Amino acid sequence: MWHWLRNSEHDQVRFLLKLLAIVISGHVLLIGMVFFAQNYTIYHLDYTKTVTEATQQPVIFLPLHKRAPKKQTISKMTSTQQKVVPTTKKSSSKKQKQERKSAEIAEKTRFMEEKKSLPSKHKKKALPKKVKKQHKPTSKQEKPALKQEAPPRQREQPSPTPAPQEQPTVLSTEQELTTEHESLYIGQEEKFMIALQQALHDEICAQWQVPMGLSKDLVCQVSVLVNWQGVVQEVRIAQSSGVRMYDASARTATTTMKLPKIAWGKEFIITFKQ
Amino acid sequence: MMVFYKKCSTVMRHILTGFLFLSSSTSATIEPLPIEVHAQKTGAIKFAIVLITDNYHSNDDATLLDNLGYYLKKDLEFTKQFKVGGGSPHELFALKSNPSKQYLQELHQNGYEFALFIRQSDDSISIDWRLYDLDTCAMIKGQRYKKTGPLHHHGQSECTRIWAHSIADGVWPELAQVPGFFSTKIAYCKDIKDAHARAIKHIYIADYDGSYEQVLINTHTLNVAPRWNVDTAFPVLFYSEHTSVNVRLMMTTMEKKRQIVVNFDGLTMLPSFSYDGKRVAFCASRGDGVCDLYCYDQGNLKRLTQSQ
Repeated sequence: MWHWLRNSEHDQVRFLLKLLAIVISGHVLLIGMVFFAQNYTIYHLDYTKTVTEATQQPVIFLPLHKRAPKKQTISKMTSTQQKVVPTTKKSSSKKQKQERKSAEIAEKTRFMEEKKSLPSKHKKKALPKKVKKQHKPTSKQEKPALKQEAPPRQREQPSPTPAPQEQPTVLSTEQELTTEHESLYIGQEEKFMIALQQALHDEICAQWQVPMGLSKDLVCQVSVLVNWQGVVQEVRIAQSSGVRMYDASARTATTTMKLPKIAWGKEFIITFKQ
Repeated sequence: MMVFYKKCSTVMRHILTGFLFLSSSTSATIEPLPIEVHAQKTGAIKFAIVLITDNYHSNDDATLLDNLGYYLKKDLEFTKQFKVGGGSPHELFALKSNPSKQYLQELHQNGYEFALFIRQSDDSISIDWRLYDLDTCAMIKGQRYKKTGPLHHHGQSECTRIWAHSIADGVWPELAQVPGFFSTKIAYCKDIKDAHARAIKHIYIADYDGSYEQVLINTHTLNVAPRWNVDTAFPVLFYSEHTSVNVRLMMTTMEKKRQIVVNFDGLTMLPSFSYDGKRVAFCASRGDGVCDLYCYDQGNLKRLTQSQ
């Protein structure tokens, strides 16, 4: 196996080989960690929340090869809002263009009226230059001209019409976005976990016999660790109800339940309520 | 070459160990899956009563402890919250020495959640009990009682029953977080026919479950509406006795010593005591044919209602 090393017994080669071995093993380690991390992040699912929300929100079942998208955070929402703002600016600029066009038309008509009133020589000198500049401006020339023209118009019409018009458009886009985010995605992983929870819930309900006559407000949390052979390895009272009898009944239910195969090698926290 | 191979293998071994350690640490930080369950049916918890027989000096000792276990079993099973198990004769376990951890674990493997060990002291003048949580094999509580009351053969049965009730009262709060009720007595009146076939009423008392009834008042009159006072150390029973002229309020101790409490005209009955026992409310007609509520507070009698 190590014959290939005979030609490279030099110290530097040895060092390089060692380095290579360490680098390869490091990669293997990293890949292994990523594998474990990916496998165990499956169990971060709040079943109770999904069930309660499912009644109000649309449920989207994803195909096999797709994964459910992660929940949008507030920071993401703000970023989407920021994206929305330029669209509103565009819409406002379009309106401004329309206003400018109408203003230009009005100026034209005024100029035509003046032209009619003026003698014909003055018409030829004055008209073509102005009309050409107004009607066929290049794209490069238009932008600075608009920037220059905009401030005096605001002065002429001080009413804040554009701001209140923009707000509803932004809000509507926000609402659309939020409704999109509230929809509930159920992928294969989530489906698997819901099935697991349902199976365990049914089994515990069948096994648990609460002593009669106790208070209805008692709540007990039991942590159960199941090994890879399907045997309950550890039962721990995570949160006691304060009544030993009640805790004991919950403990007994967890030890006597028959676990489905999908529950092997996992840990659960079971909340027992009256 | 071999040195290099050894070094490589050592390095690889260390890396593998590190990898396994990291993988185990990542698996230990997993968030467990939350499940919420609501109760759908009721049932009893398995409870073991074990008699420790190392201090049996005579057959009486064996009988006493056996009866004690029997009454305890009866008390705990009355609640329907425990299923007390064991061997013969009263389905109780017997052990010749103090329990070991292995013995507790065996009981737990058989489905028992709690165990009560009862033992008689060496000098036979006291009885002690110890309550264990079998899951953790830890003692929850223990107590020793000195034997009191008539210990002759005839009275032993009643004594052991009372002792058993006392032990059950001590055990119960540890399991249910509420005070025990096993030593309480209920009082009631009962229709009796006298020698002349006339209907009279006697006052009886019995255990909390209605068993072991005893007659307390057996006069040839109508005795009705028994009421307890609130002093558990010195229990007194109040009742109303029909005489030829009125219905008077009477009281009696557990030793059947009777005394007149209120002897107004008309009827006087149904006294009810405050929690501190200093005030008492009762109803009385005082000869005018209409019943009203009165309160007796440290020597002062106050009329509470004005009926017409």
